[in-house]
Amino acid sequence: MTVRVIDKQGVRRLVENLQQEAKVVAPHRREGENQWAFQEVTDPDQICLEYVTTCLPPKEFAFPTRETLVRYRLGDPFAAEAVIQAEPIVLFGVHPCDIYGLQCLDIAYCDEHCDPNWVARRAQMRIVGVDCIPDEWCFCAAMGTATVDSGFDLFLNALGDGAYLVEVGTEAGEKMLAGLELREATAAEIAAVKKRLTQRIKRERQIEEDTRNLPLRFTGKAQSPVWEKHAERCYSCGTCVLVCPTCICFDVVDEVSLDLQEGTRDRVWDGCMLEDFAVVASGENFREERFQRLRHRHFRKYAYLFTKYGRPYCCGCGRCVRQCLVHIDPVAILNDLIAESKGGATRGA
Amino acid sequence: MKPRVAVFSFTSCEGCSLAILECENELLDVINLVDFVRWREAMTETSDEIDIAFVDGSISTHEDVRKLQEIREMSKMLIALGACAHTTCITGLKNRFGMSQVKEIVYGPDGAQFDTIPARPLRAVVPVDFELPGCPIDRGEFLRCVRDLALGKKPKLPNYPVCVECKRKGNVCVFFKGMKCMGPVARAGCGALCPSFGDYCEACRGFVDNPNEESHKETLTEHGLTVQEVMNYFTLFNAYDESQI
Repeated sequence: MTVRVIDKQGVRRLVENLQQEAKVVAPHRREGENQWAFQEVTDPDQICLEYVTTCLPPKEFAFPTRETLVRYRLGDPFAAEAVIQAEPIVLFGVHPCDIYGLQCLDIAYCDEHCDPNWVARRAQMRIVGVDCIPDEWCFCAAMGTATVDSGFDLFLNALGDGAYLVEVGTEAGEKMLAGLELREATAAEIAAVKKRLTQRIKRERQIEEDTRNLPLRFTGKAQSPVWEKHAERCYSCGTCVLVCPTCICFDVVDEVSLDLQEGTRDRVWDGCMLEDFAVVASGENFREERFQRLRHRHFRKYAYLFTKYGRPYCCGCGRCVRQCLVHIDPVAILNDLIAESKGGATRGA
Repeated sequence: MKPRVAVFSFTSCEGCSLAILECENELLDVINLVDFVRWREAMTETSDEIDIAFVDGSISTHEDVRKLQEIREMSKMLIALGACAHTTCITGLKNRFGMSQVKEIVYGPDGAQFDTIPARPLRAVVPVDFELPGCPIDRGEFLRCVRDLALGKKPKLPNYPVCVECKRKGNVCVFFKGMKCMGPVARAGCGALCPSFGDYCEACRGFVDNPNEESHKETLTEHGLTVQEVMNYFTLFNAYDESQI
């Protein structure tokens, strides 16, 4: 397959074509320094493809922060209907780490119980990926997510002046390019993109261990002093879990209308770093202390789900540490654990 | 039979009682669930037979103490309505001064004749069954509280900080816009109202059950606040301190 080049005008036409058939969502600049968010495109000129990362990951377009799952009518007879709302949508300008994140949720939500709301939205979702500009918090290279070879319909690699190398991932992606004037890429352009990627990966923060061995490094680490050390300033504010592209947890709440005639069963984003997350009906909290919650989050990302699904449930996007007011950093935690493990000094189990 | 509900007000702007009246689209549903039997802002009739008393305002005179005790005795359930009743809100700021000094500052030489005591939240005077926080209360939260009580359920407040609601809304963090915020320790439930409209959180709803106060003091200091300013952030709506009484 030849690699092609789309110029600035072509990208604009591509967006306009996509808008004919779907809602197009892309990164936009927000108030504040270096802030971006995925928003519906009204004016293609507002799209900002050269961005570090968005506040919320794009999973919100398949797993909204709040959604109704069931609508019911109380009384006799009781009636209930499942609610699944999906529409054609194109996520335009998604970084490799976020594409990896969506794939993590595909795996988790289609495991033993297939989540119909997630599946319905993903079935109508198209992805146009774009390469990224890492900052000091990114660690996608360490997680192996600096590039992805699937999970997109098209992928754009910047050449400068608003032009991109276009990689086609699916037939739907090929159709998106119909009618656009593309030219073949030169060998020099392809080499330049490869070189940039190699240099970028070298600059990023690293984990002092082969990623595949991470679950082993968590063995016997439940009693490690690392957890208390890093949790000291933790607020349990849940920011890290709420901005995480690979976090899958939600709470389910019933909302009965004031006239007590009807209601909805909704799900809202929840997360294991919040104090009440592990409270059970008797009032017992299985993870009462901050360090226990921090420990659980990291075990889940790099050991439990890694072992279960064969990939880390972390895409290295760095949103958690970037948005954490006290910068609790998974890279520092992992490297502390690895150092402790290599030094052989573990406490207890 | 519908629960008989009364609304009382003490030291406050009475805005939280008014917020109930402002539930204009829902009031008909509310009076299908409960009977209002006493509420000076809304009705002339009065009654001493009360199932649920919503009480707005802090307790700041000896007369208030006596009246609140009366209300407690005549009501099966007593609910603090809004920040003044819950944390004393800004009425508690006077507690840092001596009472004679406070009277002098506000009323001059004539102040001596007034009866005033350090402001207390309701729970410091009588047992309270539930507290609806906020300056003012969140109307949705009030309505859910009434609905839950009518269904025989215990109402519940979120025990997570305002940050959660900011994230769910996709707000840019207030700190990233160069301001300081109490959101990481403040109890959510307002839908992150102030940060969503360009302001910062002042913790009018009080704190989560276990706020990391030490960490937040350090954060505010790291963002350039002096010790005094940090204290001001923490105490604007949460000045009440039992040891000062």
